[in-house]
This record gives sequence, structure tokens and C-alpha cells, in this order.
Amino acid sequence: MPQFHTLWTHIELRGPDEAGPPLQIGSPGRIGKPFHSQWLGRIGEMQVLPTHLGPTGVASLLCGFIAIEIIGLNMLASVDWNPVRFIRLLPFLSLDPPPAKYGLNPFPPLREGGWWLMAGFFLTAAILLWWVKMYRRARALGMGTHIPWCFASAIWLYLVLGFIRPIAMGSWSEAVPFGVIPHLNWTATFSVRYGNIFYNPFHMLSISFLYGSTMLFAMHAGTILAVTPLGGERETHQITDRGTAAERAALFWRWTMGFNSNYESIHRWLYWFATLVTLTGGIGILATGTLVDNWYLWGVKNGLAPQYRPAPDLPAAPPAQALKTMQDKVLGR
Amino acid sequence: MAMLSFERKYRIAGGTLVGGSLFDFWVGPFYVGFFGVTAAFFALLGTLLIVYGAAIGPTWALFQISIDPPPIAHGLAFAPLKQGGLWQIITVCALGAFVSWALRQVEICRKLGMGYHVPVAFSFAILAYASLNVVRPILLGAWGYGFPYGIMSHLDWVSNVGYQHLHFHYNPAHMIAVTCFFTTTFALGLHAGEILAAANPGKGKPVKYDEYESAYFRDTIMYSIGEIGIHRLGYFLALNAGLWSAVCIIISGPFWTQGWPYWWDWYLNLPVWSTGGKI
Amino acid sequence: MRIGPPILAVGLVCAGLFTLFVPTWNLPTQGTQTGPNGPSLVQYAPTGSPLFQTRNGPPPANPPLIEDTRPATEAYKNVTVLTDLNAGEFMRLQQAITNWVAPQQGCDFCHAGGDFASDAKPTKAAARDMLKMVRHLNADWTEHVGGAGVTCWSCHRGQPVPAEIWFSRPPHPQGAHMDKPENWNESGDSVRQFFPNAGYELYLLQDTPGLAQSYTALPNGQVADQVVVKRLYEVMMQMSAGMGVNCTYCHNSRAFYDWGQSLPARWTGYSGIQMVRDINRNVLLPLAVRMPQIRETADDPHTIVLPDRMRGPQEGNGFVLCATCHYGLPKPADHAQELLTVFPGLKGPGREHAASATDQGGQP
Repeated sequence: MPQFHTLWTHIELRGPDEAGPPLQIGSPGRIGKPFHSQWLGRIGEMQVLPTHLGPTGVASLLCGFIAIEIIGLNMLASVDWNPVRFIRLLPFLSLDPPPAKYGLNPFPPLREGGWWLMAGFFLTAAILLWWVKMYRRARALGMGTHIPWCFASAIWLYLVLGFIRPIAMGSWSEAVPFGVIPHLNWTATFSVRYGNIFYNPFHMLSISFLYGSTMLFAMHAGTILAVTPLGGERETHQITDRGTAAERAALFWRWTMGFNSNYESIHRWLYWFATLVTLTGGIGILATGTLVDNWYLWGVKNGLAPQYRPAPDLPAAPPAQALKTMQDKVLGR
Repeated sequence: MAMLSFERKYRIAGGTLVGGSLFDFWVGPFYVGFFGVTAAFFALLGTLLIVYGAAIGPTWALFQISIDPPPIAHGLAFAPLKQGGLWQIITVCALGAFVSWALRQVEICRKLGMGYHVPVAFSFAILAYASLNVVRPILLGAWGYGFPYGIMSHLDWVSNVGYQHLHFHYNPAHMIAVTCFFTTTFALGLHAGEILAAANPGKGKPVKYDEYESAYFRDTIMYSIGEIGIHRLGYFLALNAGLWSAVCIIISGPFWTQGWPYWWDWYLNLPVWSTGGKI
Repeated sequence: MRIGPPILAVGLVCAGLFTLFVPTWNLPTQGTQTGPNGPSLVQYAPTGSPLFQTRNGPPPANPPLIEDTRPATEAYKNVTVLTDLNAGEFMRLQQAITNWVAPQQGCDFCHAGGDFASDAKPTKAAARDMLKMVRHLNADWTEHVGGAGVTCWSCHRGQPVPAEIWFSRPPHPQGAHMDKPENWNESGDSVRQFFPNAGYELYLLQDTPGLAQSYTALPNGQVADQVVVKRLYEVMMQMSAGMGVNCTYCHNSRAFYDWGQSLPARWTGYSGIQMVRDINRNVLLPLAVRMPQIRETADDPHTIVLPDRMRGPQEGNGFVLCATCHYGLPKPADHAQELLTVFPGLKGPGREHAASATDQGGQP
């Protein structure tokens, strides 16, 4: 017997293809003939497409494609165009920023960071154009621009990492390389260089918002799924016309923790938690190396660092004479 | 009473798991229930013990307070109060409080006729905490492997455990967990932004509903997962973030004691492209 | 009937069984605490990699001592290094060296034909350099080798070329315009070999100070860029892997630089790095000058010069790192302490008393 399931859809309903509401600002119409996927329909909507692709979107995809080609072809070249080596080493391959000696020179040699700068330029262009697309689509549908502004927070972190902070530090070499493992190596190196990033207060804030976002999404999604049999997933309707789903959802949290939000304001909590992850994170990265050179020592200055008793049998600092004796041996003196 | 305008009709008896009608009442906006009593007990006791631990410690500076686990040499035994015993009792209180909280949420769900999705999700978080401070220490044979209760000291613990494996980013389960965390935040920004954008379209414009919501995502990223779908996706991503975090720490030590980069040796040695170690 | 719950239950049971039985659980895990409770300064018992473990067996049995109290310089011709031994000790040491370094190749590895006094083979000069090095390390590097000392067995473990050495590697050949790639060692069959060793030249060959962190909270003009710190990180990783320890053996990771929060082993590690630099700069670099000769005149150039698993065109010269002696253990399992009581010739008089070891570097 058919039953309602909250985690997956048992009975998939396929109505007429949705062409989408008319666009309120004149622009080219939508493209793509809708198709339906039963597999997608088990968890979400069945219909894929139509979509909108105007000049901004095309320009963004083009720039993005160029960036990916620059990165990928350089990686392929670095393994002498051998496809097996390429696949084997793919997680380890990288496109690196220019070495420190070039400072902020916008035209270093191609083989020493020039390609990285080009890829970064095109990727940034693609991202910014995509932002414009997100903004214009919202306006065209007569909706608020909240998503673009959240996206802007993410772009802030991206620009800090690859553009703003390197400029503040006076060298492109501070930026992040393209590459799966190499960007992780960059992260670990960054933390070692600047005295343990856990002591950066903006890092603490960013992580709190990251874990908080995950917690909130689990709470929110759990709540909505719990009241889905009552139509609770129709959130915009519940906002303007509160039904029993909204009431029970609110009461669940009120009785659990003493306060609650409503169907609209919960989305404000969610929105700000998500947006603040990258907003505070970007500030924390930007402050590193420019304002603070060693976050642990900054923590000591500001009373953050707990004291651990020192290990016995260890000199507090290596004895100078012993250091000199060893160095004499090394240098053959 | 601190009731919402529509609340009265929902305040019915029933739905309890334990205790029948003995604790089936509200205090202000809070539902009590048997598990509300136990949660309050464990939370209060645990908090007071933390304050006591701070009092017998060297400082009251908030970020420096730390209640440390016993030395590893103590193994899985009960430790003296001031050498880790306090930590052990606080851990018991924490688990007691968290489990009580989850079961209280179950009682509230039953009373409101809701599904159990929230307490199930919370259980994943409790599982992650228990993995860190119960399961992994038991597997490694000593309570000393748990993390200390202190704002900065627990971060020092994370840092050192990470460097015990030379470069913790190479832990494959950690990679999955981090990806889930970032993807959850991304999806959260999209979902929250979408609802707010639909409900706050700007001065003079009407509120937008389902068609528009789908249209926004179809117009931008070709597909709209839908109102139920986004909540299933968010639920799935958030719970996996917690699950894989638990996995990533349990395998660090009990399964793998070397640096995590070296776990990937099997990848370099796959027969299809192994070089046999020849230069 | 709902199929969801049964499927979920079966899935959970399968996941549970998989988790319990498929991965090779490392239980019980031996761990030791090396610092205060709380921040988790823990060492796991070294499990090491198979490559290291095969080298950690006992040394071959010592050759017998035949009593002959004449000085070695009197009994044998052309003795330049082991001048403080008597003939019996001298011969015993020579036989032991053969066992430790060239058991398959035998005396012919260094000595030309039957003429043991001849210096015709360049391997003999290399052996003299090695002996001077061992005597120097045991006399002058007690900061690191302490009372245990080192012997030829410590590094060679029955092979002419120690298994764990590194070569300075030429950069990847690349086209004129493509990006300069990271120098991953692609033919390495383990991640440990795979990582670039550019950092080794900086920190194990050159006298580069290990400055990766600032000593002040606010910027003070100190320059240490990402690449320099990355190289140091790589060197530290090889140090950890080579000794079967982790970073917290020496450091409290919230403040790597701070000696006040570091652990006693850091001092030993520091002296180890300095000792490695001494060996690489003052013994192996000059020895490299003679490498082409050794390759040409050896019976089988490839087996002599390059370890089995490192064959192929190689431009650089072999240098040592921590793993060369430690083979994945914090204290090398080289039985050096016992061997040194048997072979006193392996400990020299020291720098203050003898002419500097480096003076005789180029002399056959």
C-alpha cells in the first residue's frame, strides 16, 4: 500500500512541464527542453531544465572554461602529456603561483607563475560574471537578492586568498596553488608559518559558524522533514499563511529549548550563519601576516593561551656554546 | 504563561516514553518530562563540576580554563578526582545530558505528532562526541586519549592529534567530512537565501511561491531540487558531516598510527601504473 | 509492508560487519604519553613500513679475534686510518666490515686482486673516508650518538650502498612555456619516496636555519615564504617517518618554535640534523667527486652504486638523512653499543687530538 515517506518519494507525480513564470525584466527567453528523471524524482523534483543562458552566463562559462583549460593543460604538460601518468598523479598535480622573487609583477614568465596568474584572472572573471548572473536572475524574477549577497561573502574569501592578501603581502607567492593535494599542503604550511591558525580569533568565529551551519541545517531539515506530512515543506506558503506544520515546528523548539523562530526568521538564522563563515574567514586570512605574524604569540599577549608545565630535562633554549660547537663541525671550522 | 497565541491547543497529555504523567508538564516555555529532569540534573552537575575544575586550576581566565583527562598510563581505570577523575565524571554527565536531551526531543515529537528526524540528527552529533571521548579512548586503552574540556586546550589537542599523523588533511574520511561541511554550508546559503528572496522580494512586489523558487534555480544552475528535496539534501549532508568526522577520528590511532599521507601508498602501487619503485 | 526499515537494518549490519572485519585494525595500540595531560602529546609504538623492518635484523656474527699484538702499521702495509689498532684487532675489523658492507662482494670489493695494500680500487679510498667518518662520529658527535655510537652496520646493514639514502634530483625536464611543476618523485612506490626532496638540499646539506615561524606576534620584517616553509615541512615529515615517530615527539604543535614547550627529544633531533649536515657536507660531498670513478671501475656498476630499488639514470650523488641510520625506529636497532665494545677501532681520538677529518678527505 502506498505510503508517505519523508526521506524519499514513493509516488512520483509528473504534471505538465513547468516553463517557469514570465521574466519581469526583458531578456532572452529560456532554453532547453525539459526532461524528467525518475531517479532525481526519488529525492527531489523530476524536472530538469529549462534554464536561462544569457550573455553574462555565456561569458562566465567561457572564462571558466579557459581557466580550467589553462590549469588542466599545464598539469598534463607537466607529465609530458602522458594520460596514464596524468590520471595517476592528478591529485598531486598543481599550477603554482609565481615564486617570491617576482613580487607583484603582473607579467612573470609563463613557466614561473604566468599561467597561474592567467588562470586566476579568468577564474575570477568567471566567478564575478556568475555573480552578476545570479543577481540578474533574481531581479528578473522579481525576487530578493539574498542569494547573490551570500555568494558575495564566499567571493570575498576567494578574493582574499588569491588576490587581496597577496597584494597586501607584496607577493603573488602567498596565494593558493591550483591542485587537490597542493592546496591542502598550502593550508598546512600556512598554519605552520603563522603560528598555529587555531589561535586566530576570526578562524574561531569562522569554524563556529561552519559547525553551526551544519548543526542548524540538520536541525532545520529535520524539523521540516518531521512536519512534511502536514505540508511543512511548503515554506513560503507557511510564512504567509501559517498552518499546523509551522505551529508544531515552532512549538517543538520552544518546548525543547525555550525559544523558537518562525518559518521566515529561521531562514534568517540559517542565512547569517552560512554567510558569516566566509565573511569572518576572509577577515581572519587577511589579518594573517599583515597584522599578526604569529597567532599563538598573539594569543599569549591577549590571555588566551593555557599554560602547560614544561618538560623536565629540557633546556629552555639550546645552550649557545653547544650550538656553536655543532655549527663549527658542520662548517668544517 | 509564556505561551504563543496558538499554543494552548497543542499542550496535551501523552507521548511520554518513561514516567507516564509524572513529569508531563511545562515550566514556562520548556517541556519537562522525565528526561527533562535527568537532562537538567546532568547538565547542572556537569557545569558545576567544570566550575569546580576551574576553581582548583591555575586560572579563571575563560580561554585558559582546562579540565584535563587522566594520564594515559592510568588506562581505562577510574582516576583520582584531581588527576582526571573530574574529567571522567564530566564526560558521564555530558553523555547523560545529551542522551536525555535527545530522548526528551523524542517525547516532544510524539506529543506533537511529528517525525523523529530531529532527535535522530542529534544522535549523530552525540555519536561524534562519544567517538572522540569514549569509543576511541576505549579502543586505544586509556581515557587519557580524550580531549580536555577547555576552550583553547581542546584546540591544542586537535592540533597535536593532527600532527601525530604528520598531515591530517590526507585522512580520507576527514576529506569526506570536510567536503560535507562545506557543501552543507553552501546548500544552506542557497536555501536560506532562496526562501528569504521569495518572501522578501522588495518594496511593492508580491511574495513569490513555488513556481518562482523552482525557476530561480532552473534559470541559474539548470535544476531545482524542490522544497522537500533541499531538506532531504541538507539533512543528508549535515548528518554525513558528523558521521564521517566520527569515522575519521576513530580510524586515527586504532586503525592507522603512521602519517596519513602514507596511507595512500596503495594508490601509488596500483598494478595498472605501479613503477616498482624504480627511478 | 515498508521496505525501508529492513533495507536500512541490512545496510547497517553489513556496514558493521565490514567495519569490524575488513580493515586491518591496529589493536591493541601501544601509545606513550610524552607531555602533560590534555594536549595529547602521544607516540604510537612504531609499526614502520616493511622496507624498514627488513633492515632491522641482527648484525652478522662477529669474526673471531686472532691474537696478534703487533701494531697494525707494522704487520700490514699502507695502513693510514686505523693506526691505533693492533694487527689482530685490525684484521677482525676488516672482516667485520666485509660482512657489514659487502658480504656478497667480499674482500675484492675494495682490494684489487690479491694485493691488499694496493689503492687501485676507488672503493678503498671511499672505505677510508667512511672509516674516518665513523671514528669522527663516535668521538665528536656524542651529542647525538651518545654512549651507543654508530658502526658501519648502522647505515649499510649488509649493503654496499645503504637502502635509505637520497639523491639530489634534477628538476623535471619541461617545455619552454609550461608551468614549472613540483618535483614529485614519480617513480617512488610509496608516498614517502614520492614527496619532493628539494627541502633536503636546503636543510640537510646546506646550513639553512630552520626559521619558519615568527618569534613575535606582530610582523617584524622576518621573511619566510610559503615555499621555504613547505620545504621544511617536507624535511620534518621525512624525519618523523624515518624514525617512526610523529611531530609531537619533539614539538608541541601550538608553538613549534618554542623550546620551552618542546620535548626532550627535540634536542637530540636538533643535534641529529647537525650531524647529518656534517656527514653530507664534509664526507659525502667530497666522496661524490670520486663517484664516477667508482661506477666505471666497479664490476657491476648498477648493483654497486645504486640500491636495487633506485636503479636508473641518476645524476645526483647519494646523501644521508635520518632514515639512513634509524630505519623507522627512534633508537636505531643497530646493536652499535655491543659492537663498539668489540671493535674499539671504530672510535677515533676526536677532533681536538687528531688532524681534522676533512684534511684527509681527498687523499687516498
